[in-house]
Amino acid sequence: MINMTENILVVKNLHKTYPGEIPLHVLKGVSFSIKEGEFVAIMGRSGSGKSTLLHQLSLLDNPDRGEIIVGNKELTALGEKEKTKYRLDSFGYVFQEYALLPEFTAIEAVSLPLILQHYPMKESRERARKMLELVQLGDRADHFPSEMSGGEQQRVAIARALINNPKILFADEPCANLDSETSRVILDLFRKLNKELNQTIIMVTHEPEEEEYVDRVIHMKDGILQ
Amino acid sequence: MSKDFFIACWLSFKQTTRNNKKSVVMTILVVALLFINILFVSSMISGLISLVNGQLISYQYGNIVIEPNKDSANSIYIKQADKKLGEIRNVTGVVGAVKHYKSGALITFDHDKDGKDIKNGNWYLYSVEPSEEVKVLDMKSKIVAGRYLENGDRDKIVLGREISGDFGATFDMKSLGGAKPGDKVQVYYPNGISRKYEVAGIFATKNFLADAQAYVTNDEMEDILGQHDLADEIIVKTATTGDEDKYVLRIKNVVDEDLKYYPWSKYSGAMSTAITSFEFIKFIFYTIGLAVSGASIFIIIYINLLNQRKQIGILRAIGMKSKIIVTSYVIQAFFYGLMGVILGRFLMEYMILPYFIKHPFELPIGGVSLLIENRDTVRTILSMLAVSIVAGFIPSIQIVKKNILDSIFK
Repeated sequence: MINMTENILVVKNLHKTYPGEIPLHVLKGVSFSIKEGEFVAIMGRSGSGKSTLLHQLSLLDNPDRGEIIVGNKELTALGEKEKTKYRLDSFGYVFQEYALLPEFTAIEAVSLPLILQHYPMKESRERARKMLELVQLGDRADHFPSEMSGGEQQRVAIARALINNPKILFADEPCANLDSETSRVILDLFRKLNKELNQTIIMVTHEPEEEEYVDRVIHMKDGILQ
Repeated sequence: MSKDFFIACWLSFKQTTRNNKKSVVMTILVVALLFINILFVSSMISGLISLVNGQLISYQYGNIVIEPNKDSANSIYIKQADKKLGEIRNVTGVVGAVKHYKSGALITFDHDKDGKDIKNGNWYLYSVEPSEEVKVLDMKSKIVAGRYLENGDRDKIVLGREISGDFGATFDMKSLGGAKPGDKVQVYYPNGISRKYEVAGIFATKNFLADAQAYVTNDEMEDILGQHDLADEIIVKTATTGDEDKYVLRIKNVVDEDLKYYPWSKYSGAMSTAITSFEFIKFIFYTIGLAVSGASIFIIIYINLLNQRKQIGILRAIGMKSKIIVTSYVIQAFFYGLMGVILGRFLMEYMILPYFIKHPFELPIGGVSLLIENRDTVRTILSMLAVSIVAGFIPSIQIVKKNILDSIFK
């Protein structure tokens, strides 16, 4: 059952400036909300601030000002240790470049977040194997990233992002390095996970054809929402 | 904490065992070579010190020198020396004991037997009982020409190479200019007696002071001095070196005369200054070697870790605690350090040391082999492990303090 009645994420007046000789004011007061179970795309031209916004929302970077509220918890005030724990327990990440560790097999990579949550090794592997089957990589569980295609690596990254049942799955241009056929497979998978698991997904993309997979598009231009 | 430590161990195990094998092997090999570098120089200097000390014991003083107590006794000799020798030889742990008469003497040599260009010099002449002497001092094995003395020899003398002036003598100017076995030398004693001796043999220990001595038999010397059953000194060889005080106490219990007892180290004289200098040089080399090795290990592990910056960023992004990451990289660095010192110790013990024992460095003072002292080994191992830990800790703590996005994308 899809439940899209409650806001899972509320963003208020978010600002981010990168210091330098000429400071770069990338986010200029961004505010929006996302409902639980929504599949949202953040779109915009290169340099519009969409990736920066995703990095702030996912606690990979610290905004200068503003609020990020997930559930009833305001996250910007959290300390580094609390943010680390929050990322582990409540968020999942899919990066453009897969971000898999070369020394870890698919099943080890997917089970890693559970191991970090102190689940027993055996249980972690069993759950990771099921998650790999969900992304149709059950037969590639013991392969290393170097033995897999780009699409397969990205599906491993998705399985890793989902293994801890995250409140929100963040995807930063997940298809940018993939051909159109493989991109379609990944986007279909996102859509399926969104529909079947009611998984909230926030995805940054600049491909207009990916709009058809999402519930809503947030357009950005020059650091503000359009 | 224990679960986090287990995770750190698991992570470092996976990363180390699945890292590029060549890279792992090369890192361990370099650490091993650095370990050998430190230990090699200090072992060589220890070997040199050991050689010098060994020469003092083997060719001059044995382990203990017993002299008359000239302050409390009327005699300048040890009395009833033969009885005392018997008592000392029965002391547990005493390998042998011999008495010496010691006299200065003018030795002359007419090489061409024509009364011209007669070489001469003042030297120390010792008397020995040849059959017992070999149990205490090892001069017999250092004969390089002719033979050693035998019991009953009365007209024979054995010369050190510095007196002979041949066989690699280093102080030729003051020597007899090349006296060889079979040559006749004239010896003038302080009491006015003069004797002609045939050179029985030449010895060369490569210790200058030992090689500047000459030997005749006790029978001959007692005849010259007109004395009997006395001694200038008694030299004692013990089963172990370093326990001389213990043996002195045992000997004192059986010898009733008030004598002076000195361990060999008291006679090292100028050598002790040289040994102190060697020790200091060793300390300098050791410290520099440790600093260079420490810096090298640090750089190797640091570069290794910097190459894994992206991986560290990924681990942080998915929620791994910084302390797990740091611990895992410290464990990896410790592993490299540990494997390196184990390999280095193995190579040192089973390849380098046996080689240099078989093929010592031939220096003017003798063949110097390596002596690996446990103290140096333990200190080097601990130092290198400590450096490895620091080399793992500093870069990993720096990287986990960086912005996650910088670690992954820059």
